[in-house]
Amino acid sequence: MYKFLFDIDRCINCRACEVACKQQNDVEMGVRWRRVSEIEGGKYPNPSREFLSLACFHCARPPCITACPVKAIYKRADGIVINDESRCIGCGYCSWACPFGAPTLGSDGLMQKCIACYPRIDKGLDPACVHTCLTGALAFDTPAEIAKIQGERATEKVVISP
Amino acid sequence: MDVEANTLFNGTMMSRRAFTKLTALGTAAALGGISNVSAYPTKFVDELVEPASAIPVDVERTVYSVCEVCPFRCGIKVTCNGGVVKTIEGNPKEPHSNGKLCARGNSAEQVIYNPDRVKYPLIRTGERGAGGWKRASWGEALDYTAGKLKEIEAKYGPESIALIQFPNLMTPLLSRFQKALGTPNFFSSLGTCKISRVVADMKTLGAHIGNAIDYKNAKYIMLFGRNTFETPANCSVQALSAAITKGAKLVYLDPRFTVTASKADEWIPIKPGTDLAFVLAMMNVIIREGLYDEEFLTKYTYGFEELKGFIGGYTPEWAEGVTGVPSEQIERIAVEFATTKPAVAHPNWHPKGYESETQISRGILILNALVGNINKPGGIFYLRGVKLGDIKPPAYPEITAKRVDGIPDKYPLVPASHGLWQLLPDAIINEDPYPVKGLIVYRSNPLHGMPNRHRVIEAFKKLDLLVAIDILPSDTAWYADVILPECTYLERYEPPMVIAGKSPKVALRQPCVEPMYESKHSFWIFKELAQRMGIGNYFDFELDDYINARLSPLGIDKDYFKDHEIWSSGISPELKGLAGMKIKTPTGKIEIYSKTLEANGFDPLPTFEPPKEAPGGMFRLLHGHIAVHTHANPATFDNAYLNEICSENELWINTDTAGVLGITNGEYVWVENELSKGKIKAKVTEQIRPDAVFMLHGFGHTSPDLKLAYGKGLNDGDFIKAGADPIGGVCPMDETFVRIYREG
Ligand code: SF4
Ligand code: SF4
Repeated sequence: MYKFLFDIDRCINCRACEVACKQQNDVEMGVRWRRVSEIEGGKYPNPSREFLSLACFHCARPPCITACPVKAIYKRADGIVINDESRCIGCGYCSWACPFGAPTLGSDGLMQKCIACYPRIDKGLDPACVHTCLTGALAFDTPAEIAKIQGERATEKVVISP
Repeated sequence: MDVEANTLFNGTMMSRRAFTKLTALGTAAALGGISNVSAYPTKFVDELVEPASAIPVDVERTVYSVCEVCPFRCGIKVTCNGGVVKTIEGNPKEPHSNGKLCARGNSAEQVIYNPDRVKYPLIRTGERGAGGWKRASWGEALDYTAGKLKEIEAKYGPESIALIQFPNLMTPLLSRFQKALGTPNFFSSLGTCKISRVVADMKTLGAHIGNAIDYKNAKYIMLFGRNTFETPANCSVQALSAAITKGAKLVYLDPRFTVTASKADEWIPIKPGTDLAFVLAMMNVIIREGLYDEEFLTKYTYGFEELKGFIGGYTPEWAEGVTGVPSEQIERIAVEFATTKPAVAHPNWHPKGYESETQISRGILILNALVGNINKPGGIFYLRGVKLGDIKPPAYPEITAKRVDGIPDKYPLVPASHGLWQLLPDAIINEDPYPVKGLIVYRSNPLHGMPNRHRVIEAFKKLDLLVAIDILPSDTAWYADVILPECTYLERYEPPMVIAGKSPKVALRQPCVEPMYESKHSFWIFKELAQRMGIGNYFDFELDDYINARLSPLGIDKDYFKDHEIWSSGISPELKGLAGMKIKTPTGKIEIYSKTLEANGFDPLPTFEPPKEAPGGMFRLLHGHIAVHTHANPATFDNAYLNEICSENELWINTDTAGVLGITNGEYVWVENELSKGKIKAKVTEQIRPDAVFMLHGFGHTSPDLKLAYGKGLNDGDFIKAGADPIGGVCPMDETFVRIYREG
């Protein structure tokens, strides 16, 4: 079982993860499997900026799988959630069901989403986004390892891992 | 047609997948197709040039090479198959990347497979800048270029040919061409970048140390406008992040709340142009409280006694009036800086704001010296390099003509190897001190990178010949008489790169795939031009010979990099202070009091000069960078992946200021001053001082052939006057004031 960890405290909005995802998975223009967004707050001279790098969370109980009428989405034994494009009918239910809107329609009318770079995982590598993250804000590992990282970083502000 | 081809035929991009599929379909037809659909004039249409077979195409290969999407040049690990670049990652053994690439490096495929690439030589047909081109063969283009250059040389002398380049691994070879030609007018873009910092380092420390800061071991880090997290300096980004994670305190001064500010413990929105006042007041406190490193100062520095006498008037109370920062805060930070060990202050990298930039950088260097944290863990340090070999050129002709930018008479301390490019347009327009009629621009985009674009165009119009050697039809290329298409960094060898640092290393740029279209290696271009100019004897070798000559002192040749990711010196990375080190200043010490500055009639101590005040109703225009884009280089702006993330710049304007002007977030507003006028989207934000506005640099491209970047956003340079810091030469670009108003 694998899951993503994203550490908001470390993310610097550099977008390396986003572009690494696109080039390694050949994601078409206009679709982003991983996307970094910014949340601005505060008032001058005490403003704040936070950055969120989000992709599919490969949920433990994925609502997208429940929503899909043709069972195109499935979870691998290692926890990675994948959409089988050969079964997908492009109805968009998974995208509505997903709390994060992770599945996105491609220009072919079919759904696509983060596959946690499973071809890399199968070779014993980490996902492209994690591999390139300049600050260690992203990790992809077993819940036990993720819990360990969270423990080590307990002094830092916020650590997100749904 | 399949999906990938659809994206291709929309003309938006040519993905690698599309390229692979199309090669399978028959590349000749496909490439013809691209030219048509991407709305190039028909002259741009090309037939396929069959790749030579030097690089194996049908097997998966991994190539260790060097990135060039930005000039930081990280080590890369590229996989290719079927003659196509597949994936790109950092080279884990190369210290610029440590195996991790930024967004720019990751976008490589959009550089090589960018449909906007210049595909074959072009010669201008209509008016300059009107966009009329005819396709030329290489022979025709080179004959034309060399013929024109010879005409100019015969009529006005070789000095009337100037060369501009962005500093890169081919620089020594272009410089060889320049010296063989016999012109003194060789320029880099440093005049609008870090030239004053280079001079400050040389005259204070005896060497330029660049970004050599041992962040990882520092416990207290001060950055004066050094927005590390949004710079190209990949390894500095990683190291600063690691330092923060380890608990270092970060104090960041900048009128704007950058990404780096958002990660700092303390953000100080200092009044623009007053950093030196802050630094001098810190020194005042440190000296008054006796918190300096006396032993270090006595042993390794010159002029501490003079500094003591000089610093008395620069009290925190004085600085409060100048900087707007409360004196108690300056006082506290000074004490924290001097008592937290190790503490370090970045001497800034891109000091291009004010006429006193050399002194500002010197001030920060001296601050580091006061706490003795030089060449020690957690401090700034001297870079260790590697000496490479060369192919000795025949004797160069003597150059008697003076440089047109006033080096050295007017700017005695600015290195002529870089020059002051921002002064070139005026020299061309005024023919002062003599006419410059030919300009060769290599891997640079002066029309966009130099200040005051309108003036640059005026200068270009006075030229008899403008040559652009580039991979993309840049704004400069658009105005050129001839465009010579270079192949990209993924398609070529280049001279080895020395990675200076604590433990120096050497990496080699190696081709991953064959050059596409008719693009050629710049070495071949220089050589062919040299032969036609009668200076072929200076290029009497092949690039391979040159690379091997460079590498020979290391006892290796270029094939070493076929099965080695990197060459390592094996030198211990330990920082052991300054004992036994030769400091290359006149006194052999770190010069707090600069003998060289004094001898040249400049202030030997860093006296504070107040910045210009904004005239009534105007705002100071600041500019800077974002992590996904670099400089004026179309390789990031006209790049499908990076353009998708940030395609347009905005004018940052403080909420209260916007309220007074009646400006709402997201509306297009006018920016105007005596040089230019343009519209830009307003970003009404809490993240900037009320008296300054800001826009990202590098937008507002004017070449219609940059399909993605053309016309998006506004060029900050349009509003900036050319000028120079009298000591270090940098253009004072933050002394720019604009009016902001709504439509009508
Ligand atoms: S697509 Fe959405 S719902 Fe499905 S696993 Fe990913 S994050 Fe969860
Ligand atoms: S690579 Fe890491 S630091 Fe950069 S945007 Fe992505 S998550 Fe944030």
